[in-house]
Amino acid sequence: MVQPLEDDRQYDVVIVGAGIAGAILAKQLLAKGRTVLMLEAGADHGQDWQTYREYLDKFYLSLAKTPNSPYPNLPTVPSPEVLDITPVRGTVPDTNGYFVQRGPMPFGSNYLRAYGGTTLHWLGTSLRMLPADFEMASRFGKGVDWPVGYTELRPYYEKAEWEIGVSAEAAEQTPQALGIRTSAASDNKAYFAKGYDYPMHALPTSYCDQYFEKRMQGLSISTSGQRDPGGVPEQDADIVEPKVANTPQGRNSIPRVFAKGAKIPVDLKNTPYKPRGATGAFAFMGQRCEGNTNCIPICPVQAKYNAMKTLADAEALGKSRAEKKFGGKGFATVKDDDIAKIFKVQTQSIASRVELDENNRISSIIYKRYAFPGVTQYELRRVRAKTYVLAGGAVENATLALASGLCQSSQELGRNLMDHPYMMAWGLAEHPIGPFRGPQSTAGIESFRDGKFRDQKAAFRLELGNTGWDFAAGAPYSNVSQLVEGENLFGPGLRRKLYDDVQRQVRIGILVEQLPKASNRVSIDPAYRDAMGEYRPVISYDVDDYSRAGLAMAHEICMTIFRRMGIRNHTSYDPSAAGYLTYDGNGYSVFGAGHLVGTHRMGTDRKTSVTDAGMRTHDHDNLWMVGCGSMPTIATSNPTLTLAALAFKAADAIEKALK
Amino acid sequence: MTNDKNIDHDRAELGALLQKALMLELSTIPPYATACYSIKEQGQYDRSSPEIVNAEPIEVIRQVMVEEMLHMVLVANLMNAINCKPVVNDPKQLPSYPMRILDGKGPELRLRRFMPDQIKCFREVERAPKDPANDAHRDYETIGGFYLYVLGMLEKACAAHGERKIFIGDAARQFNSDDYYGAGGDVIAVHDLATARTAIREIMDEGEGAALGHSACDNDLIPAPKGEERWDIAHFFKFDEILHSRYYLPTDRLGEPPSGSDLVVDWTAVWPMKDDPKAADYASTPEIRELSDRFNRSYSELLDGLNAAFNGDKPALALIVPVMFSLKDQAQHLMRVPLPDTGYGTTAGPLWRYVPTTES
Repeated sequence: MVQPLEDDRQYDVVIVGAGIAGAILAKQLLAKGRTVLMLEAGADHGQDWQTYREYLDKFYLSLAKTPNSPYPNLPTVPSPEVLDITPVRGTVPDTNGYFVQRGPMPFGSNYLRAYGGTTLHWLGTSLRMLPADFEMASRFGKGVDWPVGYTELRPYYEKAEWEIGVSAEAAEQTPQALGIRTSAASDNKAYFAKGYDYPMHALPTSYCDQYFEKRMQGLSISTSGQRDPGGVPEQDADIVEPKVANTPQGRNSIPRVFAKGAKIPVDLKNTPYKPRGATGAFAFMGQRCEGNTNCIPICPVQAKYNAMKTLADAEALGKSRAEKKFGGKGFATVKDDDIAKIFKVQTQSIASRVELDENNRISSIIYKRYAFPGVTQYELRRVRAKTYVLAGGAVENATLALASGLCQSSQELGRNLMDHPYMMAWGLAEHPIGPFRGPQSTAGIESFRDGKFRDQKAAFRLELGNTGWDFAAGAPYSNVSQLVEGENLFGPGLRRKLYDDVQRQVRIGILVEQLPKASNRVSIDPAYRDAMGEYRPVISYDVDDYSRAGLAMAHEICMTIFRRMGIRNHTSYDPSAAGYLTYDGNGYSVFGAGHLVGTHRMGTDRKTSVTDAGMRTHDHDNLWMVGCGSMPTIATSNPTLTLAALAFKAADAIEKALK
Repeated sequence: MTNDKNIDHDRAELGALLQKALMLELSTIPPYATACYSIKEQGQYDRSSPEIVNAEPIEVIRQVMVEEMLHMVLVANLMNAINCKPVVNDPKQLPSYPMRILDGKGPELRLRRFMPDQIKCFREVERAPKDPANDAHRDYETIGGFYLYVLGMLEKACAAHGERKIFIGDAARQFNSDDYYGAGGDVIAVHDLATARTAIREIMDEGEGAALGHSACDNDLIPAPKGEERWDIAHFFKFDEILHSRYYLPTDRLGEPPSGSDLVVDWTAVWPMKDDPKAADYASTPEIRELSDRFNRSYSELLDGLNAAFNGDKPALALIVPVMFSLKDQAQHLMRVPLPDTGYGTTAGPLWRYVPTTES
């Protein structure tokens, strides 16, 4: 093997991965006076407005507008792509694309390896977990408990919401307001700290959301087994009156102005939140969400949060500290090299091995630095630091740690991979409900995210879509070809019918929780490497009966809602689809939700978990693993907000350890 | 020493000045919007390479326009603070193009497509006052100078009558960030001389750069709004960037061309809209006239909405957001229609005429 070149500069902290977790860690640690190096595998993209424009151009010109369609997929740093997902047959792994899929079900989620990470294409949904989600084992005998509870994480949620810039009203987001029959009555107490509120006001709900709200009124549903369409109340506490609720979203709206004299939570400067953009000469102004209807895969006006916003803050911090330390004021005098002594983001650098010393501490990271995007020639380099953080996402963290032989005492590394199996129900409303405008989703039905039923079947949330059947059935393009070729329509007749059909399309997305399972895992195999010689993730995955039971109940509930609202059901699940599964004699098909969770879970016991509650690995005392991989269970909320809160928590723990 | 008659007179004079300021800010928006909308956007271009032409100029003009709208809100706040009534839908006061701003002393504003001459004209509009000392004495030739004069008058009135007697407006009419959906800077609620000064300074800083109190001479840093966490440049330099096809760098000095990265400008990817279109141009073509009337109705709806919002009905501001989107669509629709009278060489364009809504 070629001897790596030694980096001559040492930092307090090396962070692998410039996504949201790494960005928050970097910003927090820089603020505490630490020096930070970030290694990012992605190419030098996205750091200026020009590249953001290029992303947009690529998106506009893509025929299949998948989550990763705007972004480069380079042989040097491949990302998983949803188009690569096919059914896994027999024992032969499916090696399409970047993942190696061992099945029995294909793992349908993807992520993005680029500066800014997967937040570039996320939707922005920023839900907190519920208190019960932290106690799955003790309350329901399912999965595991977290080493931290909701109350302990609550202040970090606040920080995360103010970092991301979440638009919502606290009063509308308590479990009670969401119509959740919580499994413990105390869950409703102090869900938000006294006086706390989100940094920006809620974004308006869509007309379609309001249509649901109006027509669902008075509906009550039993979660204990039978439906209750007739309205005969049952004895137990399992009757849920589902509510349509505005979804907290990481997109700019109107900043909240707090009453004079009121202490503004979180923000130390006691000023209202300032909406911002991510990159470009106008980023500081922060455009507001204007409903361009493509949050996924890219927000054209940067109203949606992405980690480049936090990274820009980190860079500004590094710069101002360099100015103070190395002299000089204003723009001209501080040298880039002086800034780099304090903070540096090194892109095109793929962390390849984490090296251990004789005391089982990390001694260095070996990385491959490639000079040209897409050209698989690289320079092998070694970097040393006091502390090391892996923040590359659940799958990349696991492959890097596995490749380096880390964290072996629990045998849990790479295991317990979870996602939200994502199923859809769609139909035609009686009236036009105005789809294909506004943000892709502005409301959901959160009422089934907890309840006594969780000892039997998985909880779930229902996401109301604002884009008709686009994801479900390729609308409106599929409607055009169907009407032209199937019904021979043309001219005004075609336009009329198209309008009539498309304007009535509704779609509900079902996100069901999964339990941690040792057999759902990321592993590595020397037979499968990418063009740079790095291990490709080998994934074994299945959806168990607990989740399937949740899916079946969710499907039933959607049908009840449709009937109640007079929506004609058009849902059909194709048995040849990659994510087709059956339960109780019925077939459903699921997709990945892009929520990759749980490969290096936290815990109190080193035999059953990879890291402690501060996300420091049990086995190596100067190594942290931070991200969605830290989550012991996935719950029903989209995980980014929780991951951001965990990053704040980890930053505290790292700072404490460095002292 | 003060008496009621004097204070009423001063208030009326200040009100008239600020009303002029309101019309001044409004008069820049149609020319900026017309130029911005005349640029062909994605889907309208024809090239094989995946690049959107003129994305940057669109963004630059759009940002300036958004800031002018903010300035209108700030001026309305100033007027309401001193209990004067902002009016934005009085046909007698509304701009008609071509016109010279500042009572004929300032640069000319025209309705033209995106072209170098038009951008040069915009740059003139946003030029900083040369000698601020002169401007305080009614000799202003720039918008910045005009605002210096307004500020001076306001300070004088406060000195003569006391702040508390000047700022007697209804606080409920003040816009703050809670009421204003959009970017472009902070909305400052005005209730005393200090906040009034901040509001006027924000208007001036964004437009002309920091030429307040001291003259910006050569070898100064490019002026930028103060207190911004990240670096922005004033409107004047934004237009300069378009003309040079290049961004300014923070280290660039006044008087020198920008030396930053490329700003892609394609002067040809633009709808060939007729310069300063008139209603008479559409007299013989009923279809175009119908499109034009529709645009004027939307524009009038916008002004009526603004007028209501500035005079106590604050939620009206949010309701005109969709109108602004349709203004853009309708303007671009006009610009795609060739004019027969010009041998189809040029296209129609929006007139930006106010038509009073008939009571129904």
